[in-house]
Amino acid sequence: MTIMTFVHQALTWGFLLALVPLLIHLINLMRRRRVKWAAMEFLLRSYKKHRRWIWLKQFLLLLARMAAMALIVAMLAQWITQRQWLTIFGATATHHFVLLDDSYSMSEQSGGASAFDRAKRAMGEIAAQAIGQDSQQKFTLIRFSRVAAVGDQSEQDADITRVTDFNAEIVDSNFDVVLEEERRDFEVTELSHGPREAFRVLNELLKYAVDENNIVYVLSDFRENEWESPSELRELLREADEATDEIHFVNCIETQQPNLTLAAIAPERGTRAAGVPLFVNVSVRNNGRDAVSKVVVKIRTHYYDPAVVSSSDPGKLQPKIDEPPSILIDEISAGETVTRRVQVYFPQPGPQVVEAMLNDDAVAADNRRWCVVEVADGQPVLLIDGSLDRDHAYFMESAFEPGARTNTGIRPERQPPAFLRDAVAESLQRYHAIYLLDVDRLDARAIENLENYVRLGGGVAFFAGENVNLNFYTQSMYRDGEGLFPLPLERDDLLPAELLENTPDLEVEDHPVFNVFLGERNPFIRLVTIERYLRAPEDWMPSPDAPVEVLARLRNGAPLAIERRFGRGRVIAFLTTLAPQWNNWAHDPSFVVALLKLQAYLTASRQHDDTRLVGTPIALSLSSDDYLKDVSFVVPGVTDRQSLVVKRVATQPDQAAPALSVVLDDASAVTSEEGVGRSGIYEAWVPTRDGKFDVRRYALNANPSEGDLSIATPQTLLSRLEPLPIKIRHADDYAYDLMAQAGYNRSMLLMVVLMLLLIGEQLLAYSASYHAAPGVARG
Amino acid sequence: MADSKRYLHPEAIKRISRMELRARHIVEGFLSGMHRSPYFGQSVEFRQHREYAPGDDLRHVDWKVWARQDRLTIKQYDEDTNVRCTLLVDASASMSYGNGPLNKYEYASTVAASLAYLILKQQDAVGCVAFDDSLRTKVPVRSKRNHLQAVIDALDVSEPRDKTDMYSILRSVAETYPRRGMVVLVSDLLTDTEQMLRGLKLLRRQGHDVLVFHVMDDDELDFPFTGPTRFDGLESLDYLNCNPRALREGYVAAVNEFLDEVRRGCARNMIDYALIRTSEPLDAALATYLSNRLGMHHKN
Repeated sequence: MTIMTFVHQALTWGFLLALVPLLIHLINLMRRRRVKWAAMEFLLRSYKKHRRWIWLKQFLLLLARMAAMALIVAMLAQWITQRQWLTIFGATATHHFVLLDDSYSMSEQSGGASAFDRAKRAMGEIAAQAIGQDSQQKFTLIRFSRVAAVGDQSEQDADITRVTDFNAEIVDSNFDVVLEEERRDFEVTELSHGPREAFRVLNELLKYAVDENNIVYVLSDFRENEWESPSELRELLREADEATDEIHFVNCIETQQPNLTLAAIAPERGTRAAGVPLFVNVSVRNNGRDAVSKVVVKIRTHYYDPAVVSSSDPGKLQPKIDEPPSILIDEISAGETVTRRVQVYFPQPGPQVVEAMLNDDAVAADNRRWCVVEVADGQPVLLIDGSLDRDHAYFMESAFEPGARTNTGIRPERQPPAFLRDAVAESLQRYHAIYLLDVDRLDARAIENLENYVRLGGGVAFFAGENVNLNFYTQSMYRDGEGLFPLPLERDDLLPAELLENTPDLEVEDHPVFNVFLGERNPFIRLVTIERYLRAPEDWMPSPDAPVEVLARLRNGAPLAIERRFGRGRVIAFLTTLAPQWNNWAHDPSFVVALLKLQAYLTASRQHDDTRLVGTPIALSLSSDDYLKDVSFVVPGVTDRQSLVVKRVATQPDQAAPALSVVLDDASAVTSEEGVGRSGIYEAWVPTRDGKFDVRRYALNANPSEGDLSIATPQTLLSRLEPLPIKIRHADDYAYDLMAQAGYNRSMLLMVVLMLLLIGEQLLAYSASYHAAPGVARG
Repeated sequence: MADSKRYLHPEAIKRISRMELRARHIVEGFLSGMHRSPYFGQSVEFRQHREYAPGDDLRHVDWKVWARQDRLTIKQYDEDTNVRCTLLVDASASMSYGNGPLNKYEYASTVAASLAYLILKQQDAVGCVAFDDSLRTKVPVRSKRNHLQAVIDALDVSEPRDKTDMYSILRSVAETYPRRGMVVLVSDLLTDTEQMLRGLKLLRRQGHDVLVFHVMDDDELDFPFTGPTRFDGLESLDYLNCNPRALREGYVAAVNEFLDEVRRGCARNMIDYALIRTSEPLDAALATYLSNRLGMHHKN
């Protein structure tokens, strides 16, 4: 027993067209021509003889024509049947699992609508058609963003119900209203999640959907970067296929649109201090198929005046905005990433922001990018000079603080060697770099402090001199490669003068400290002469796997500058003096440049540029000794001026310990307005116990890889997912066929019957002499 | 006065006039020359020479002319004859049907007028009867040249009407024209076939040489109608709503059965019979028939 339903119920009015042949017949009766006829006898004789057959044939012909019309209408209206008898045996319901991709590539605009709009429309069609079914229908909706936030926890039942917008919801006559209310709130996110987690949740849900006709719809844009090597996805889909009747991929995009993506924005190495210009690198990737010319990247800096912040309230303060000149990129080839640098300047210390913007294109989320730069008031560096006359420190201070009108941002602080011994870890950490200048030896405690400092990301530079104790350095600080000093020292040596003076004394490698001197860009370093240096044993060579690198050598091949990575920090040893005692470098113009580069390099490992993606929770660990618990987060709104203040109370897991913890945001709220689902600058306003605010800023950016809009074609997808029986359709034309797929479409059967009927009609018409012989017929 | 050209069709007459009407049997009347009538004509008056044409009887070649001029010439005579020909033209309602330029009655009238002209030109006598269920007009048998107009007038006034009653008509003709001669019936024969053959048989029994021109329209033979049609009987109140194509096969079979019956009946009674379609050229139909008749005469 089957129930007859139609995908397009409105077209069922077309069955009235079946009466058309009858109508034509009646009209023909009225339009019958009259003939005065002589040979009536023969006509009547023929009529009497064939009357019954003629009537029968004409009746059958009329029926055939009416049936043909009805069949055509049934085909157009998509006649489907539900196997109602299955309900007797338990297969009671059809369960629609809709997996909705809401990653930001779905915001791609084409033809006046976004891919996400099409996906929502297709989802509405699925629900609408499900409502029209007679058998029981269930509806489950899984959004990529919600399940991805839960991750592996999805295996727990409670989490599954939490991450689905609808879970086995019974489809009743009001379901479209319910869905519409929910659907109105659905927005494409700025997240970048593939379908993997959604498939995992799907497979969990399918375990509970036994004895149902399960149909899965994946509403997505099927980008190449997500489906490039889908072995894991194929496995998940294979598992899903075992529990489903059909899997549909609903493609929601028209064609690939050109799109520029801000791939990165990051400050260069260098001193990040108030009043010191800073270079910021901005990378733009062309994800289109054609080259793009004249690309303008607008740059803005946002900064607060610290004095104002302390007296302001969260969300009330508007940052000062400065706009450096925009970057103009002449041309970016297809698939190419071009990086340009721009100089920015922050007059105030604090967590300041650099923003880059592209003009509008197919996808908006990847057209803005932010980075937060921790701008210090100045960079304190520690100078330990072991010489009696402190000559080395003098030259270093001259380089770092050349005069009142020139601000390098570096604040050198001179201390005796004993300072290292007596210092605690925290006091050393405030220094961005430590320079040991001609220090003869250090206490074990000082070495330990120094090593701890470097392990945590600090930078240390050694310079040689008369006082350096070679054995101590080798045994206590090198320690056969275990210590922080990069190499063993054997003796000091003289570098014979070069008579021809063609070969420079110093040969530098391509390293951030020296690469500025490579080639002909800065010939001054060729004028540096080295007369005396410390040298390593002849047989010493840095092993290939050791974190040791020679940055510069003398003309005789002896290493002069050697770097060792130690923990998270860096140590660079120069085997000659800083002051012009064993060389003339301090008199050379390259000296200041090299020292500033060295300073930038040593501090680089302490500069952890925060590269958070949208959706990354912002977690703060605070000390209850310094901060109160009521933390306010200022989150970006739809526009720059619509920021939202979210209040969170920090928890104190261990009442005995002063550690406070506060997080924005947990996974369930990742897509809410109060979550971390929007790109931009987030601020944490942490109240201090002295009644002020400690403002911390975080940049959350969209994943640039999502901006690659390359499409995996249906053929490619099918071949990669073989042998899974995936059905791929476009969202626009899919809506018409959804129920045809969901039920048992009779279109092919109708087509066959119609063809047979038309053939029969022709034979019948021929038999009934409706096909006149050529040349005989007269109408 | 009726337009004689309407029936004579001079072009057709020109060709038919080169033929000779030959009686098939020895009937009463006089036929000079080739006529083997038991009643020979009294005199033969030379009328003209004309050039020999293939098919002409060699007995009429003027050999003297050939000897002098070395060309074959035929001598033609104005002959007195005693052939009496009665033309019977069916004027019933069924004859009014026609889809071509001429309906059946017009066609039949033309045939009759042509024959009358030919007969009178041969100095024979001709009469005419137009009939339906009775004799509507009757023109006595005469051989005067101006008698043709009387025949034409009789045909002209005979508009088709009423139902055919063939037997009573033929019997009436047999009684009206007791002298043996030629009777030419021009009709569609849409009547009781048995009665019609019975009437023809009666004429034959009286010694008449009977010719039947069976005039039928193409539509009646081929039945080419399509589309829903209502057929109203011309001689009855019968009508039929039908799809003509569905009935065509049975109709054509019935018509052929009727034609076979008529042909067989005529052959049995030694009656010359020719089926003529109204679409066929008039002269061709007459010439073919007369040629056949001459051939049969020679066989005799």
